[in-house]
Amino acid sequence: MITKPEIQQGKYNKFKTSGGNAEIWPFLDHVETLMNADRKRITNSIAYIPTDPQLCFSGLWETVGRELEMLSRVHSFEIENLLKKLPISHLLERHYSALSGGESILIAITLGLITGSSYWVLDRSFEWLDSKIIQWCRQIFLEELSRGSTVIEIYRESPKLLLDANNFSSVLENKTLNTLLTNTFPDGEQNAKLVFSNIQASYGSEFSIGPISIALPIGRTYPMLGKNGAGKTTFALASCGLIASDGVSKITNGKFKSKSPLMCYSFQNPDRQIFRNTVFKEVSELAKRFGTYSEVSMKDILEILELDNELYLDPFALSLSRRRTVATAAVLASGADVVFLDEPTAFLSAREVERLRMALFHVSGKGMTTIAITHNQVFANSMNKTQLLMENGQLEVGSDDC
Amino acid sequence: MKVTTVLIISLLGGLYPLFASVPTILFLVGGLLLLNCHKKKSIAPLKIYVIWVILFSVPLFIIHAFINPEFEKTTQLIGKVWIREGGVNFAESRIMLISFMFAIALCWINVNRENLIAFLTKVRLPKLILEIAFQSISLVELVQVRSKSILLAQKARGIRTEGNPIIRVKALVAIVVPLVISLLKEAPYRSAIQYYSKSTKSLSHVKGGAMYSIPELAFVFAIFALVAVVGQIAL
Repeated sequence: MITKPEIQQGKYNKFKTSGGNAEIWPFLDHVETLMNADRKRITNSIAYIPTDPQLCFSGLWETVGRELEMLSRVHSFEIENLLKKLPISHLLERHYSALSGGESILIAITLGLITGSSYWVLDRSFEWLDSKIIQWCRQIFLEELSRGSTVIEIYRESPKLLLDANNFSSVLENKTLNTLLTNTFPDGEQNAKLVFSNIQASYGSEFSIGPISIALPIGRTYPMLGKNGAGKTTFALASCGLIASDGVSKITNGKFKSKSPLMCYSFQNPDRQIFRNTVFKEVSELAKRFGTYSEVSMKDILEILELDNELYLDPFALSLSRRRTVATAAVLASGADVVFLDEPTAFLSAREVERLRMALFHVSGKGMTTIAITHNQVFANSMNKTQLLMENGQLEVGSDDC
Repeated sequence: MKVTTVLIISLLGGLYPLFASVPTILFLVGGLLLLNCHKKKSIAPLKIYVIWVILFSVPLFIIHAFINPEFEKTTQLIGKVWIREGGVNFAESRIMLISFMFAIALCWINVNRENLIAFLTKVRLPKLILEIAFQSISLVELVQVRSKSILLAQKARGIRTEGNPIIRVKALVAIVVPLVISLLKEAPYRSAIQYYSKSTKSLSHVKGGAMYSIPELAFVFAIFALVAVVGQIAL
């Protein structure tokens, strides 16, 4: 719990969080007290970037460009100079709800720059950003520091454990977990393939993906990589039929037999996905609705993801990282054929990432195909050598074997 | 839809008790929606309006006019079916209210918020009123965006949202409840952003606004008077 941190004024301060949301309020109060006592301060405002960057938008304006323009008018800020420096010109005509997670953070930071705040509080803001954008942010904050600003970054525990953990020995205290990782792949499906054919979707005339046609062997986890705004989430939504798309997704075993797979999607922000009042109800709901509920598989997933002690708690009483885990558990326990996980490692601690890997190996062994959209290259490499790369609305399959 | 239409609707809201009769309300609401349809060159809003009003009105009428034991049986229709006059009146008043609320909601959804905000700042209303107006406008937008994301999430959870009216009503419950809860949950974050940034973004138009033009002022008051007169005649 961060209550009264030692903040060095005019410096870049980093604080590790255990993952909870509640700790931000006393922290912000403390930063405000510091700011009010600071006689050299440039402005009297704090640029606070929450974990959900979409909260920074006023909702008054039709496009992102108008939002930036109006705020710059209030603060008498020359927006043109900023726009020349920032990689956001392609986003200006979009509505804020059509931005990807990373793009939203980018615009939220731009809004903070316009207000000219001398104090920045970044609440786990870099979870959804690709490395290029993180580099750009670093440059921006270096400039902010040079003009006397104080930057405070709250970050989660870094999942460095993955670097030297090709097996799970580092976290496997419970030996019974070994049994859960055994492969029980359904008979006759060894050669089956998941086929996406002609998937294409668009958000108005500003952004479109596809047509994408690929075939992937089932029962594996495929990391999907790509820079912010490349179309990863759009592809997932279109494949699941959650947004209008022209293509079809099917599973075929090469003997002219094919079926429409049961598909599931886990949202980038877990708070958009959790609706029930206990962890158990939330995790079991999808499986019950799909008619695939099995007490054994439910227990396995809950045990692997260490949710078995939190079954009857309200998900919203848990920390953000646990809510992320609950949302992931719900889709992994759903018994669907194909599951899309959007940023499953975001906000998780190293231990939770390890547990997630175990859960993914567990469901893969049972024939479930998972596609994990991520910016975490270490996690991606640890899951599968065959990776999907989304670039400019086109999907490529890359592999070390190629 | 133009700013003026929204103003008319707001005025209608204020004058609602003056002309509480079904034909007047339906006439005015229908006129407004037709105006909207004309502007948008589509009858989609009118269709949505009619479907939703019928969806809520029919059960409401049946329950109160035939079933609700709080109202006395007055006229025997067929066999054991009695009409309850008090219930008919009660249902009529509620249907009126619902239809009016739907019309306002539809108009708000179809409004060009940029034009409305530009107009409100142009007339230089007091800061407090402007802030309240902007917050409520932004709330409409937030609710709209959030309800879309909840709809998507519920679809991802396997809930059917399209089909016959019963499915739609069930889906409505699955959307409205999480919508209210999620908006309440994120309120502290929104207020924190507003408070700590000390810059109410919604007031961004206050600076540099032009003076209110006399013809516009006269037009608004003329509309106000017209609505009042129509209401009185209808009564």
